[in-house]
Amino acid sequence: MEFAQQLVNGLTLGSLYALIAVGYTVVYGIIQLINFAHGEIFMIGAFGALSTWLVFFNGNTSVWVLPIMIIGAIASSVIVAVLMERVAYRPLRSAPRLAPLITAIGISVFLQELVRLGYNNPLLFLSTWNPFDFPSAKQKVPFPQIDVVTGAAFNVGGVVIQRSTIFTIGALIICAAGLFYFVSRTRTGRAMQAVSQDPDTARLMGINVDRIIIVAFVIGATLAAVAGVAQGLQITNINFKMGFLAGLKAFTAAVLGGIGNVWGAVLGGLTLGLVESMAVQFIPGTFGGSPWKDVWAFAILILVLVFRPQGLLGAKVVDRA
Amino acid sequence: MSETTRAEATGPTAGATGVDAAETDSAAPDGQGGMPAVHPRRDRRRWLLWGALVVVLFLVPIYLPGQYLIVSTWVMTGAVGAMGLTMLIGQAGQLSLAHSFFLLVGGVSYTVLSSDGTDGFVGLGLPTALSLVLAVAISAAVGAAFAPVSGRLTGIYLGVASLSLVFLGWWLARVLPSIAGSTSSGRYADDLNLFGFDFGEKSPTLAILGVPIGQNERLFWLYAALTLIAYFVARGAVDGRVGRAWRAVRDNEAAATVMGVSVVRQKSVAFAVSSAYAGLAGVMVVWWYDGLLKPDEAVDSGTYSTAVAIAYLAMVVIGGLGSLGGAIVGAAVVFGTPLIIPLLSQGDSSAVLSSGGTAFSPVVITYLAYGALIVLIVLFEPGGLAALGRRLTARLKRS
Repeated sequence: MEFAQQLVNGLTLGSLYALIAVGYTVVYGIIQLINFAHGEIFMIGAFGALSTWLVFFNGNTSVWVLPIMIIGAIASSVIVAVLMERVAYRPLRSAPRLAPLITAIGISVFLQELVRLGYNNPLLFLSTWNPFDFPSAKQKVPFPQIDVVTGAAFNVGGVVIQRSTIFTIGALIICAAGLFYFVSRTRTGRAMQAVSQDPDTARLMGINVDRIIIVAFVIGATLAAVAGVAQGLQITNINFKMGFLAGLKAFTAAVLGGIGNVWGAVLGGLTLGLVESMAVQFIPGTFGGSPWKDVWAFAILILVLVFRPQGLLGAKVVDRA
Repeated sequence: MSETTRAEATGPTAGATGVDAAETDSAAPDGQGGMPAVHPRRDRRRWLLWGALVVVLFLVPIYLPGQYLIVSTWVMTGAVGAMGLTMLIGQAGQLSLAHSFFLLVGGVSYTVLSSDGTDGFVGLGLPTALSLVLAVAISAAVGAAFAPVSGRLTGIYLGVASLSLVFLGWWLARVLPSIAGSTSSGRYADDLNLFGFDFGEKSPTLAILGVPIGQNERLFWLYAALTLIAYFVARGAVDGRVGRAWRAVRDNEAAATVMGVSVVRQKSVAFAVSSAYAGLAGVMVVWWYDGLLKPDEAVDSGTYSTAVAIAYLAMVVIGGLGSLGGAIVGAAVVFGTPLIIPLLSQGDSSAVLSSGGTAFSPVVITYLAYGALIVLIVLFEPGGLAALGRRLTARLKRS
């Protein structure tokens, strides 16, 4: 029974990781770049949803509000991700490999601090102008609990399933199905596959590689934004640094699944979520329990990198060792 | 306090970079290496410059008020740590976010080795100078023990793997309060005591030119000496065989292997050297806090947190990757400016009034500024302030 409960918890957590991990892996598949700031895109998504709610529906928790919040989340994440690609990554495409990594870390810090200082104070220290009365993001900010998720939890034979759990897992299923359709059935999706296999030949075939790269960032941002909303509904609050650890875990998931492989990212995310929940529940003694919950991701990351750098489903690559 | 003493405040760092910029001309930081051919007269002039710098550094504490000394010593802890990191990232091309973990290792090692254990914490009671050396050695050994990972990985993979060390150190410090002190009250380390000269003396009897030589002055001399030693050792490594091997690994691993450089070994060595520097900086941090060693409450904010690891990254990027003088300037920018702006603008208060009338403390926006600066520098001046300085001196020479 305890096992089944942890299975549900692990899958929920894993779905979140998987949604974020897809963003790392899609971008990597196209331009072999680890977008270290992707965790912040997830955070921006959550804040985008909250802002949409505060501006248009403050106090309203009807079900139909949720899709509009998700659209708001996706819009803000996509805008930030595309700006990021344009400003900080595109000029560095032919720079030494360390350069985009360092800008990514800089952007990550910058975005976190911008939300922390600027969410209720968009002009920073120039004025206290705050038209929509946004709350201060220096602490945790409560996330609106929409009616879909507030109801009583389902109880299936003693296993408690929260309504937000269903939302999270459902979001992963829908997004994965949409991604599958997009990548394998649409023109743009096939162009993406072509670019990831051979960018130069793809360019000769008339594919606009710059556009495909932006599409990759947009896909990653969309899924991360959905994950941001799911996280807000799940934990009931959001904060400016939520993207950091979540980003690291999702990165681990992407590496575990085999970076560059979209299904690997989903599999890696679910595996990591399950391992984390099970380890916290079933490992006894000093190393068990929630204080160590974040250590498992790092342990897995290091083990995978040292012993199986291509991950579970990835192709053999030599660039990280 | 007059304007002249303020000019002194920027003296030590400005002087150091001036010399470094002159030196890098012949030392060729970007890989052409080789024995720098130095004209004898130029050599003598360089010795004179170093001598003048030592004299200036000796005089600074006598003229500078205590609060500026506190800022300077903090900058010097950053400078020592940043020199280690700039060798690892800039010379060997390995990204590490574990610098704050090695600060913790150095600080804890020194505290455990030097304190005598009478305060209820674990302590070995070794002489303080020996403890300092051993603490640096232990940090290097811990860095070397990470070799199976640091030797194999590169790029963001090493970055995230090394970040896990920061998390590890944080958890260990929390579960072992008898070694690292509790998160609420911490524990105290002994001052450095060299031949009866206590570098943390708070009620001094010694006075030079009527200035009592207390803790601030003594720490300044100690830190200046340590920074200079760290600089010369690093200079030797960068200009020598090791440095050439690192640059070979950074620029092309396959080519380095063909030349007979062991890539795995050089990556691990660079990691261990940078850890040793961070360990020394960690001991300096403990002294700077009056000997207080206190583990962080949270892993992302505090003395040994991920935020500090990123601050060190900011220093080496702002200063110019691979440049030792740049690392010192970077430390002055990242650690110095948030502390010096309030001092200069309003004497002592920590808030600056902006045009909009809202008070803000420069410390609040530092991380926002680092983030933006890192991006801007990588985009527009990848060589950082060091490259800027080199270009400026070259232009001055031409005209």
